Amino acid sequence: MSINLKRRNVATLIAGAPFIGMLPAQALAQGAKTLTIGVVSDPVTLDPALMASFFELSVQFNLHEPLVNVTPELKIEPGLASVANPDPLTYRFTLRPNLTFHDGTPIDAAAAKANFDRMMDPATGSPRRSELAPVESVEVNGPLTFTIKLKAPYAPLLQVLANRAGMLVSPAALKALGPDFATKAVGAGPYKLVSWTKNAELVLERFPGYWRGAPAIERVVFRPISDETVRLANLRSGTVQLVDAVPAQAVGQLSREATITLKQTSGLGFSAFSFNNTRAPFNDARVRQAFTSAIDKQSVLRAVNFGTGKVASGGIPPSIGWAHDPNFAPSKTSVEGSRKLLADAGITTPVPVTITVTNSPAQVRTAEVLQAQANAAGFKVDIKQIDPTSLITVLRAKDFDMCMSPWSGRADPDGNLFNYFTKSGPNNFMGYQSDKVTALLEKARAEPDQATRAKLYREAETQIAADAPMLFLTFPATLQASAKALEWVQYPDGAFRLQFAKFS
Amino acid sequence: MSAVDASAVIVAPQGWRRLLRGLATDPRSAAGLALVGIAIVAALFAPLIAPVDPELPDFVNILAPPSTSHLFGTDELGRDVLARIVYGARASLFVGVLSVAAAAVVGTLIGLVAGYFGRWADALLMRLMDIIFAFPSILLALAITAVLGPSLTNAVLAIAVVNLPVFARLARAQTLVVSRLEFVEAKRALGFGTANILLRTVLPNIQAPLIVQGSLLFASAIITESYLSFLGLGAQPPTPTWGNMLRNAIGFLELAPWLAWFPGAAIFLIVLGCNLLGDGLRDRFDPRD
Repeated sequence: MSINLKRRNVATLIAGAPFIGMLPAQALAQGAKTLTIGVVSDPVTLDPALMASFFELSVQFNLHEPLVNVTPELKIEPGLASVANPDPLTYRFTLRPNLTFHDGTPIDAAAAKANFDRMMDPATGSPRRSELAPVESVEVNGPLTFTIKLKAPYAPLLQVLANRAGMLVSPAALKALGPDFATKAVGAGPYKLVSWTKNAELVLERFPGYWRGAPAIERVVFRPISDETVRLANLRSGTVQLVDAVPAQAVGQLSREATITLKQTSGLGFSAFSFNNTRAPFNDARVRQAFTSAIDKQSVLRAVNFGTGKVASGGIPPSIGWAHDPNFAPSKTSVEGSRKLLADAGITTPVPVTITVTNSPAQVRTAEVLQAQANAAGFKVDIKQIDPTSLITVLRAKDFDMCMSPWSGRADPDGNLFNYFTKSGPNNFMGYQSDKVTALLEKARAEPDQATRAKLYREAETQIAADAPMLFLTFPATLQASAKALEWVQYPDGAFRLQFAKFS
Repeated sequence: MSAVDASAVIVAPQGWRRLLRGLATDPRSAAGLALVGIAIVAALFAPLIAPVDPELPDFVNILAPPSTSHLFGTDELGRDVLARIVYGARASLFVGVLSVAAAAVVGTLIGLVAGYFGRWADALLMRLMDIIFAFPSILLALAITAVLGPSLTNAVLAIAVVNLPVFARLARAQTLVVSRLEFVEAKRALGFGTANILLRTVLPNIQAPLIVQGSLLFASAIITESYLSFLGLGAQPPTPTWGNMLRNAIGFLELAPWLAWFPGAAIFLIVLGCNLLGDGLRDRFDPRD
């Protein structure tokens, strides 16, 4: 009797083995349909015409598709359209045929023109307006062709159209949703929006009508996890399969872990702090220079970036090789120099300064390094912490003495400098008013010859360093990590483009 | 946190010296006394005890493990951890003592008035206390510091507010009994003013359980300060508190685990000490003793 039972049990086991074997594989297949990503914070808006903060980067290229694309090597290639450039003032775009937005409405030249009209309309209040300032007109030539005519040559145009300014959205949806569009955006990207529960999750699902074809991964979920340690823990436990902004101190450990892929690349952006040039104490250039000269940037690189990245003296990173000058070292660290400058400025020491940062540990640590060094040079620094989504408001209201101003970076130096250092630039949170620099930057963006542009940018950077409206610290490396099973492409700007991702 | 029995403890408080002697003989309360004593000494004499300036960074020597030059190692900015632990005692004790003292003074006054006068004063005051009591203490402390802004003083305020009802209820319960006793009635008949009766007669007779409660709440106040700092709502950098040291340590648990051990141990030991001390005090005041 017992032998028969045993045989039956064994038989059952053998018969059932294939099914048991299949279960984990099936579970993996189910899981492989959804990619969960741990990001630092929710985006502020999903409308590319209005995007102005760091946090939209992770999501924007998945929900939206620009007219042209930038490769990881910073080359331009066709996106929604291919482009011909018959003369420096004319760019002719031909949209791919039979494409629709996520809501099914057609992507045609009329839609493109509607997008540009909206971005350039002062009433929209779009940060894209200054990026498109040299555009004279957008003319529809045919159902799928349109021409952008410029007032003056504008070298960064394609780089700009490879980013937010080139992301076409559905005009029908804009009309129907009105201000709700910011949370329910309808674009042309590889994924369309399913739902967005703020501070919880943002869910996208693949769009079969995407011009490259439906992406491999069916669903993408963005989870804002502001604590960097918790984000990493979620990656290790498998709750998320991709994380942004890996803390620099974890690089050593992560590169030794078998189940995790760490990807590191030179970034396009910079880590910097804006001085408030419009009020005391930093309305005096000597006080700004005094603060700058008190800072040893190598210490920041060591204590905050743990050796990743590079020291920055200006806004053009080494990854933009043609425009970056590795010998550009406008200032030396000198505490006595700082004290002398403060004495020249006739200001009573210690000078009280408040540094505003978000509560990210790396930013707080940066602020503490600045605090220690500035306090030794005649300042008295307090640190004020705010939450990430308030940052852009504080910067725009100029409600700060010094405030963190990180920039994710663009493929063209104009993208790193123009909006910050021209008199009416939308990112000019410093209140910096320099006719000379504004003229240089406007000339550089209209100059077709690259070598001449490089010279103009060098001149501009030298003047900016002399005026010290902003304290440049480092060019951070882009540090991101994923589960080993995920194959994906890392871009220097740190933005995720998940149409190229799949589970192996 | 055990609340003391609400029945009146009508024992004249023992002389302080006898009290201390009593505490010192029992091993558990002696341990509690020692732990709290060490923290008090560290807080009061920090500049003399700490080996270096706790806020002095050393960017070459970050995350150094414990060694002869840095007994507790250095943190992520190269600051000496031992010095920061010693100075951290100041923040913890500052918050603990001040918040409990404030809650005790104000809460006791409220309880005295409510218990003595009864009727609508009692109803009004106790409903106010109920409103505060209804909120989970963690949430209330968080909300207050978030609204007022992060700083050590606002943390003290928040914790004091959260602990008001405990003292108020305790004082009221004790007052209700004591104020009905004959010697209090006698004082009233003799024409003594209310303030005199409350402060000179009622209060000394109800203070024992309040002191015990205070020592227990002191421990919880330190924990509350720790998590407020942990969340960035307490003292701002570079001021060291054990809570914000723990917060900074979390990002470095792999590279430098000692950064978490030391502040964690400090918090654990002082809370243990306060609880042992509180238990010992309660035993000393117990009339059945």
